[in-house]
Amino acid sequence: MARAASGSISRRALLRSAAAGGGATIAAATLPLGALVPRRVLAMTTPDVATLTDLVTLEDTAVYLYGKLAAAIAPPSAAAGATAPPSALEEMAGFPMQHSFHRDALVQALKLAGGVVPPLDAEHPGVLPASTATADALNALARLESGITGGQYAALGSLSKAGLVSLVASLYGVAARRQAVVSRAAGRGELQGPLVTGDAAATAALLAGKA
Amino acid sequence: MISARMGEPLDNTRTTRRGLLLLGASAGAGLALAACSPDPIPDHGISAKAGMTPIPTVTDPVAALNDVLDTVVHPLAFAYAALASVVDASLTGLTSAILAEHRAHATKLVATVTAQGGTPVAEKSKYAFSGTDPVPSTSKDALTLLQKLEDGAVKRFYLLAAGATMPELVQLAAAIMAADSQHSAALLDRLGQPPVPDVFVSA
Repeated sequence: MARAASGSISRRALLRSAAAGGGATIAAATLPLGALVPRRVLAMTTPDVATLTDLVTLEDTAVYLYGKLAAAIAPPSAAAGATAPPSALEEMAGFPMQHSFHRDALVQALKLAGGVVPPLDAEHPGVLPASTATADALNALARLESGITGGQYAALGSLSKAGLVSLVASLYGVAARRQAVVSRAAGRGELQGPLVTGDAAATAALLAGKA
Repeated sequence: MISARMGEPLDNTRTTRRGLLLLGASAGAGLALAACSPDPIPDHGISAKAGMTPIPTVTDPVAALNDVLDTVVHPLAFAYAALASVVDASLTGLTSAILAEHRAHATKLVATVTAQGGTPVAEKSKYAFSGTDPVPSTSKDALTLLQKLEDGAVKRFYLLAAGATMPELVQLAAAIMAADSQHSAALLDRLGQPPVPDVFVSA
């Protein structure tokens, strides 16, 4: 069966993600596709390129958010009096670099697919939490990680090239581990259920530049 | 896959070593993609880990699903059940939750095989702990074994996701791979080891 051609991390894909994951009906369900990705991206080229562009944007958002919240989750200070396990915070110190690596890999895939790379190391102020208190920072990062897994999961259902599926699947297993660590640090369960599909609503919000 | 030579068109071929390097299907995803890129990205020091094993295309989904049921999912559930009495009491909540997820995986895979018109492989009453002699008798050894089994499951489901051609099967395999990744991360954490030890899942 051939892969279905669909646009970017499309509204349809996100809806299917939400349905598969049993998640709440998402905000994306009420959004036009154009609200999830810039119009120029939609008009640009193939569905795979649009999808990869979204995945790059998600990873770039992660690099930005971890950078902005680094002090709030620094193990020595945040661990004192915080509920997050120090081991989780120490592990999270390596996550910005992982996101940077994943962004690089996706950027190369995007270039080879003929896409235009969106601005990297961009400002994404809309995703910042209301405060940089450790609890708020961890909640924001937990939502970020679930949004990234949600985006990658949706992409896995729409990418048409086998090699791109391999790449995203390779990233996806690591993203799920990060999600477990951050979710636990934020005081939530570290296991997301037998079928990990991410949070499609968080994906849509991140792509719209919102927390 | 992404073309083996710069300038060639993208297609769905996926069996060459060089193709894998370009794809980033294994540990060297970023570097691999850079190998033929006109605008290389940083090496990240992982090129030596780049995969050399082609990822086979899944041509018989029923056989592939039955294979992971018989050699991964059922044995994992058996291992958690068999080692439950060995695991430290403080961790039985975690291992019980993981066991329940493996049983849910089995249920989902059985249903998928049936939906594909196949006959699900029957669950056996006993499975061998592959490569383990003697069977763990301490909590740490049991967790170590279970974690290794989880990592093995991650690789198997990665191969299934990467090799499948039906989007629904890609997503199912990836969703299970991700759950097993989280199991592995949790067990590594309890063993005092980094829960996210690698930057890429490799075959």
